[in-house]
Amino acid sequence: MAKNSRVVAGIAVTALLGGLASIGPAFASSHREAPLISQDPTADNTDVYAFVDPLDPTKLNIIANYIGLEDPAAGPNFVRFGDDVLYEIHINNTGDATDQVTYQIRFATTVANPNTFLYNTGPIGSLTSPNLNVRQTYSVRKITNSRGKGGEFESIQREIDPQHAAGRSTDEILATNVPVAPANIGPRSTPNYENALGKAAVVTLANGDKVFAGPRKDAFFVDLGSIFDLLGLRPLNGAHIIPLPAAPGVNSLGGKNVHSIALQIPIKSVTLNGNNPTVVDDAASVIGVYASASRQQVRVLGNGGPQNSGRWVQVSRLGLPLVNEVLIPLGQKDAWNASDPSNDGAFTQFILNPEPAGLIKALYAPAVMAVPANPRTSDILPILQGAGAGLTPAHYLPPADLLRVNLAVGSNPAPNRLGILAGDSQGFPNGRRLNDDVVDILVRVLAGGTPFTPATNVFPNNALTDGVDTSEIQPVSYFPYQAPPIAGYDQKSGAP
Amino acid sequence: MARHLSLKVLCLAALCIAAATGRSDAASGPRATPASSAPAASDRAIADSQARLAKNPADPSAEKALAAGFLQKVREVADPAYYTLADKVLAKLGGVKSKDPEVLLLEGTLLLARHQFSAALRVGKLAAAALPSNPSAQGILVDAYNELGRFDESLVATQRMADQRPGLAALSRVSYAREIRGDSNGAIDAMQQAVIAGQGRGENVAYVQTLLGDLLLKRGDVAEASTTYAAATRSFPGLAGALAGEASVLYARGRPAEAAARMAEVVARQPLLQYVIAEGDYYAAAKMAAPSRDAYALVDAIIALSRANGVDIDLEVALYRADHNLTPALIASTRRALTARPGLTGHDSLAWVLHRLGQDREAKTEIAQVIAMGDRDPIYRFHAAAIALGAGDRALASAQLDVLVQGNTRVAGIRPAELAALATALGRTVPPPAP
Repeated sequence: MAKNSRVVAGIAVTALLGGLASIGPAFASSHREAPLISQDPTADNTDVYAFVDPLDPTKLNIIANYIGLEDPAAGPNFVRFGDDVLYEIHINNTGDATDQVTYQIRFATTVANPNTFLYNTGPIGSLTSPNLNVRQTYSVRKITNSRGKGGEFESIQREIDPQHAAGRSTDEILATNVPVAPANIGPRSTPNYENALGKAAVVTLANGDKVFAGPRKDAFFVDLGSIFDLLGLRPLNGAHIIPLPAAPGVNSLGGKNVHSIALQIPIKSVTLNGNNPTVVDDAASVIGVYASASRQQVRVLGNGGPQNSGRWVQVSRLGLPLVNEVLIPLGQKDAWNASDPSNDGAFTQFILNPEPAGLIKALYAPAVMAVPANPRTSDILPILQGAGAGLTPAHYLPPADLLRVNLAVGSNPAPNRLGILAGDSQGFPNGRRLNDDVVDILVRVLAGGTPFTPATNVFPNNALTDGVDTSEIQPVSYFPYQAPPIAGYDQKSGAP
Repeated sequence: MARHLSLKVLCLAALCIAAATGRSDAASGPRATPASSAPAASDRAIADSQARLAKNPADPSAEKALAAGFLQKVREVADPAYYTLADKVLAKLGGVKSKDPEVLLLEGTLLLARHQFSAALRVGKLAAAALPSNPSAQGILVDAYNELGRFDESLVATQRMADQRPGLAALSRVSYAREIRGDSNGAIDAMQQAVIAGQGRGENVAYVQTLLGDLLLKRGDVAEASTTYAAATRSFPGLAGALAGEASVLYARGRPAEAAARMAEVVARQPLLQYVIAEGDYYAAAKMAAPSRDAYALVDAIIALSRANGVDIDLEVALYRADHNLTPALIASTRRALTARPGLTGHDSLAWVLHRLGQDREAKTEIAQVIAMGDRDPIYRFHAAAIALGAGDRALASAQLDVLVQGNTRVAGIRPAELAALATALGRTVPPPAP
């Protein structure tokens, strides 16, 4: 039930259609009735975070979460990354939404003893414990100055698409066979999880990058149950057209884990000028980040030869949180997922005419809000151009669904969950930290505010909140920053 | 055994009554026969949706979720009354005339499940027009085109579906496209990819693991099939298809009595027509005439139940009647059924009915269409061999037998005595069972 869940009313059933595994064997069929509306959670992005490191100002952290809404007690087939999925983190530093640096992560699973169904046959005391039966490892590849998808086939792409300019490109395998952190099962199987397995899975590479892949506590926080219920915001239940008693928000991701790929990389390795930027209002200080997942193309019929052409088909992408789920209409979602940020111009009409803004207006009584008229070229558009990332109009970038991070803005030792709206210039939409309350921020953005500054965070707009201000388990103070995954043994009953 | 039988029949009769009275009260839907041990995710989904509708009766997203929950429930308990419930809920949302693409996707899948393939195709086209990049909409087209015998169009839709999202749903259909064209190895490759792509979501992956097991068994890889069915049971305990697979492995290994006992357990969980017929066939092969008759006795109840809930199984019934209850009228009724479903199943069923009634020349024309695709299904090849022999074409019969014996010949639907007689008539022998 990945990121599709985070959507306002009317699109909610996509989550359930996703859960509809199959219209199974009907009455005596010699034909196949294979799953039709099938989820693909291992290839679904759920969240992307990017922030300057609070401990080392020369480092940038990027966290890409996948799969989502994982119950901790998920045995006997514990959730894994997809061996057949290409996971990528894309970084742009020229402002035009093409990739300058791409990290590619591929996974491989081995089962030590296929004659047992057990994930582990005893306590897992370390990443190399012989008791861990199902092991997953990964490789990290870094492509610099790449354009287009799938670096390994980049030369083929150049031949068939002249727009893939023959720029200088380097391609290095940074690591192979890196262990994925195993599942956090319980006190017998995974005693001392975080020291022995979680932290132990952090690897420092030769070039100074740090990497991690594995399950963590999902840091995102949002009241999906209420938002689904006709865009309800529990603290504002009385102001809704269908009023209910006010109530505190409920975090739908409470008790949930997620699969996370985390990178910590030197800022110099991704900026346009190869430096640590110091000037805030400068396009060269801003990078754009998005994450994606791709699957390999398949040819249905071949001539006996290999039937996978090797081209990667992007099936999921995520830059700015909630753009795909909230602003892109249902009929466009699949096309959106398959397209690159450089093509975002085609979708601008949906971003500038946001449906939820109309819903806010309709559901919360005209007296409460004065939502600006569409198209939202004066407030939402600039966010896509870097307005939230410290740039003034003279330095705006082409609009795209990228998480723009201004690397000249240092880490804020006293962060505020409302980010820019509370005068915290390191907060969303300048990058995204784990505790930034993107739901509240975006609901206020949708309700209107020109320009997007603390001056707009006043009544009535500042009353808009889903009532969930933080996660029930706080992030930790060390890389990979999301808290350790909740153990299956500790899963609370009645969890959704 | 008799008491067990009457309990089963009574349960099915009760379900018939429930269906016939068209109960639409979602809160007290029909009860299933002995509960499956599978986790009741669909029960939760149904209960959640009902709770939301109680608070807000006009909530379309809760109604869609409820319909989806009913469609999910069917696959766990094989009770077609849930199709009727889903139908009523979707009708409230406009049914096939709805402008909501999600309603269309649900309608399309319901129509496919009921084997109403022309209607499913119409709805699938509307869904695909509304959601041009959505692989599920393409999937409806794939399945409908296949069952209507429009194989070139289904191939195009399959490639489009795989281009949009080469995940489990697409890859399992890629497998089917290869299978019906005779590429068994390619079909197995694709289904293995589907299993890898589906990992982490128990029921999805268990279902395609079962399909993979079926493909392996067909190719004659009995041990690998057995391992795969065991993996499916681990992915989703109690999945009927996996248990049926284990029964079919026993049968392939020449242990029909054990196979029949296993299949009887499957029927107790999910009384699908194909399982009931298999149970009867396995008992018959084990020379246990009374249990075999008892098993077949359920067939008429299932036929009545299916028809009461709008599920078209006329072709499957025709094939069964050809082997158990032959009358000349069967030709006309099978031709009628074929017009609605002119796919491989249809032509095979008509071919076999014609053969049983001694019209081998016409049968040969019908079965030729099936064989021309290349599908190596043992039932099709056995039928083709028998028909060719009956029509006096020994060379063709021998060629079909060649294909048949390369895979597993011990399947429900092929009477061992008939196969042995066919082989003898061609001067051949049937290979012994796999170990």
